[in-house]
Amino acid sequence: METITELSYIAPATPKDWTPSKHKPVASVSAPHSRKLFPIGEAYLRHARRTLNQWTFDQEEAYYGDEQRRLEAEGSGNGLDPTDDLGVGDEPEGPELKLLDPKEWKKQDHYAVLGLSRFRYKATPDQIKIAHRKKVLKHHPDKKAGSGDSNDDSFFKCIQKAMETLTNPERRRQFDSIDPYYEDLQSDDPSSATPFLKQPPEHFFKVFGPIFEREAHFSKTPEAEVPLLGAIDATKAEVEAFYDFWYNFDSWRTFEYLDKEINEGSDNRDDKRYTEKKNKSERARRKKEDNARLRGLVDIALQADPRIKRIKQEEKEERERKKNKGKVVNGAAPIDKAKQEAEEKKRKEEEAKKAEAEKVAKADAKKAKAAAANAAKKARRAARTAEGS
Amino acid sequence: MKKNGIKSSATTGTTTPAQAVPDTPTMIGINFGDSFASIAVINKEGHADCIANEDGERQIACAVSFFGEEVYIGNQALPQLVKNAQNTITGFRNLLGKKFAEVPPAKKNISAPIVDLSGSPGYTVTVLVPAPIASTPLSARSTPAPTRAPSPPPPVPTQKSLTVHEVAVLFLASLRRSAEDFLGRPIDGAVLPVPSSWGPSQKAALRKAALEAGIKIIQLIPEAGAAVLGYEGSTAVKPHDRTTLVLDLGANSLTLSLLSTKNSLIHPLGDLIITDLGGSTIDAILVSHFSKEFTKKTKIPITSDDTRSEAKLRLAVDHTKRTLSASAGAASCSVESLKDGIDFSGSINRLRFDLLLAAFYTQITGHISALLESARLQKEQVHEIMFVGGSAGLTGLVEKVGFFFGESSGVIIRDDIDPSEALVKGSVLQAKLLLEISTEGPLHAATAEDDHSIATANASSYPIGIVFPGDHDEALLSLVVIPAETPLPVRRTVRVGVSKHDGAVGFEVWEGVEVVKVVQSENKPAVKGDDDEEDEEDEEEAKEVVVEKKAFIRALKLAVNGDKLDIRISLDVEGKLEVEARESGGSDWVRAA
Repeated sequence: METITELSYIAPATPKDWTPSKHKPVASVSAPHSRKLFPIGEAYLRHARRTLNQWTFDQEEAYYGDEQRRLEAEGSGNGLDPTDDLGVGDEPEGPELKLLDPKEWKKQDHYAVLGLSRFRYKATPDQIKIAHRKKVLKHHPDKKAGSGDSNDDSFFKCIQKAMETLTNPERRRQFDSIDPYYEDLQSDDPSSATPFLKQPPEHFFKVFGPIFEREAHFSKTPEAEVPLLGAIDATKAEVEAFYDFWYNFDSWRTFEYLDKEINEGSDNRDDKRYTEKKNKSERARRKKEDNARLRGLVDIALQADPRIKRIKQEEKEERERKKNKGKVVNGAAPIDKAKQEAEEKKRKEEEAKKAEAEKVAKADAKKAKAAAANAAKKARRAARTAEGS
Repeated sequence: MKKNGIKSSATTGTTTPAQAVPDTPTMIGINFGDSFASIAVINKEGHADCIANEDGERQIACAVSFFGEEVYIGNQALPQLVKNAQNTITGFRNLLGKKFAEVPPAKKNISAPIVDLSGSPGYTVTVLVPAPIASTPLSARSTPAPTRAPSPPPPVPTQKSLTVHEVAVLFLASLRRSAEDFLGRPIDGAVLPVPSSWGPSQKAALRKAALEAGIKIIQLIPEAGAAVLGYEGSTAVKPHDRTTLVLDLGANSLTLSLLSTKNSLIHPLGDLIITDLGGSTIDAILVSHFSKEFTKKTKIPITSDDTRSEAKLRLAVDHTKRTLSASAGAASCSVESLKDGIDFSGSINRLRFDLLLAAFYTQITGHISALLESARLQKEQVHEIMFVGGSAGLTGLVEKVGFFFGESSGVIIRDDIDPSEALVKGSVLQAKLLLEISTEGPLHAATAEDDHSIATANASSYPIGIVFPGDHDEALLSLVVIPAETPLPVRRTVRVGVSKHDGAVGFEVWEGVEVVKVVQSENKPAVKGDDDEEDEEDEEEAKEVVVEKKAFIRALKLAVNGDKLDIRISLDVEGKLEVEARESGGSDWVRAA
């Protein structure tokens, strides 16, 4: 666009009888003279560009107008707008946040402290930075100096701790692993498949859909590639792929965050080693527990999945159809029904058997564990006696 | 550019290209002055930053000193002027690209003398080189004792001849190393300011020396232009018309440049270079002041041939001068064992200092008047003064020059950035700008080549403006749209308000001429102050620049319903004028016949 210089000048009214012919106009303005420009600055580049391309002023303006639009488009694509807070917004701060004790920082919900509870693990580093800046502007002790309780910078310390944790990728991962928000959700997970069998199929998807979405972010495979529960009309291949993936789920979840603090001040090496060892075994136990929990969830889902029933039904029908292809059409129906019933019965039996087998397997595993523990105990005892004698 | 970066990293042996190599080439600005040099880079925020070298110096002395086997470059070489003056080289930049015959006869100079090295100027210094190995077996054979010398033979003093070019390469290479150490990556190019007086041979010599030192010069820009860029910071195109005086007070010279900036295009109106005025003049005044004081205190005279005492004092007063520029209080000057083993310690306050320098300041303002006269400008026509150079930071100087232009004249004094960093900051900003254009093609050539044809442009001779009928003063232009000295072609559009009218507005376009008029201020406050002295000073006549009518060019009358009018005046390269107008918001321009 053409630059128009706005002047504060107000021209007086032109007299009615004014005619511009009072003076004799000169043919042209005084001849210009040659000057040597400094080849510097943006203005010179513009001058050179215009001269080289032999642009008129209108062409030049069009060029820079396009350039500006292009830059603006690029700028918005990069999210370079400094006023954009990337959707961080302003989360209301509940009274419980103000009561947080910075000494107990391990127990705080870092996302809630920074006002990112809506995003949680999905918050980008940029969002964390912006949220932190917002909180600091609001809660910095210097800001509070006027309001009386200048000594109370505990929430500010909590903010700093949250920032520290969330900006370090490793520590953030550790915190994400035990994010209290998801731990809460976990406790509401269904513990058996029976209630679903009586409910309409939609209920199953309503409950398990969000659960698998939630669990997906613990996957070592990129989240976008994790198969989600899907809908009731999923194909057999899809359903199979889903259960296949989730039975072989590889989780990055770790439990270092819950480690007991190693007493760094203590000189006692044994003490340190003991804590370390305990932490390690605790981590392993938690990890195992978590894997078992997920497996249990998948088991329940498999049992309750209305699609499995549907697929089996479909398969059976398919088989029937193949079988009945050569047969007469009229006798087909009753046989079909009888067969279906038999099939159903068989399937149920199989399922029961499978459950039994699983139970047995579990019991076996338990026994084996107990046996191993016993053996270890014995070994220890033996060692102790050996030491004693 | 990229290719060059890789090449230079290979030759310098820097082995850190793996860590975060930026896509954009690394450009720096280097101000390679005759006495001091500085380096600037673009920082993370995109602003220019003058960086410190490894000694923590932002202003790096252009000095190279040879002492035994050691070579000192930069500020470390300065103390060598006391003990080892014959082997210390200073003031070599201005000799670049000159023949020995062209070198002006040396003034009193305590550093290494300039000698004729087959036609080109150079220096001869005494250095210690390790004794040649070939000679040792010979001596072993001749000496009766066959014991092998446990340590290498002592180095032998040798005369070493260096041309100015070699010294410059040595120094520029040290600047490059400082910049690369700071940035952590090789330099792809640099922009350097050079004095406007430099000819093609000097520029070529500088380019050659820089290239040998591993610096690719992207552009050599005029010093005065670098100063404007340094002060302006941003280089956006603004229709900001002004006439600027750049006062560059270096260590050994004073450069005054008058610049016209129209549409952000800068061109010089004239300049004046005085080579015997500068920081060293101030030093000399201070040295003589303190040596008198020393003599008074100790009864030991410091004679003019006592170069060593003088060199010591000279180094010490540099610090005194800096302190005086920085703070309002008194500054001390102390020298250990100034003469005959007696220490000296004295101090000077700013008032005394300014008194000492009064004659010096008057000399400067005298030169300013001379320049204005030669450019046929009055001091009221100067809008802005920029202070540049290591010695321009003196508050006394700024005050004195401001007073010269008149306190009420509204002249803007620019010393808001460190005057010694203005040039180098401007250079790096220009380098940053050059990153945006491709590294070849005609646009690149238009900046990279010295004296490119595009840089020569026609400029308007007289201001062109508008006269509205019925304006209060018949003899003057109502508005100036295109001022004098505007590079052509130019097109400007102004929007003015229109007071109540009968549906039509007419105006005339005139060529004008700037005249400085004495304004009789009728409502002069007749306050009888307590001190009559001030009143007398205030009686200086207030002057104002007005534009008088010179020649009538066009007239236009058009129908307007609203209260705003757009007027567009354009001048093409040959000075052909075109006048158009429209009601604001309208789309059709009415052209004046």
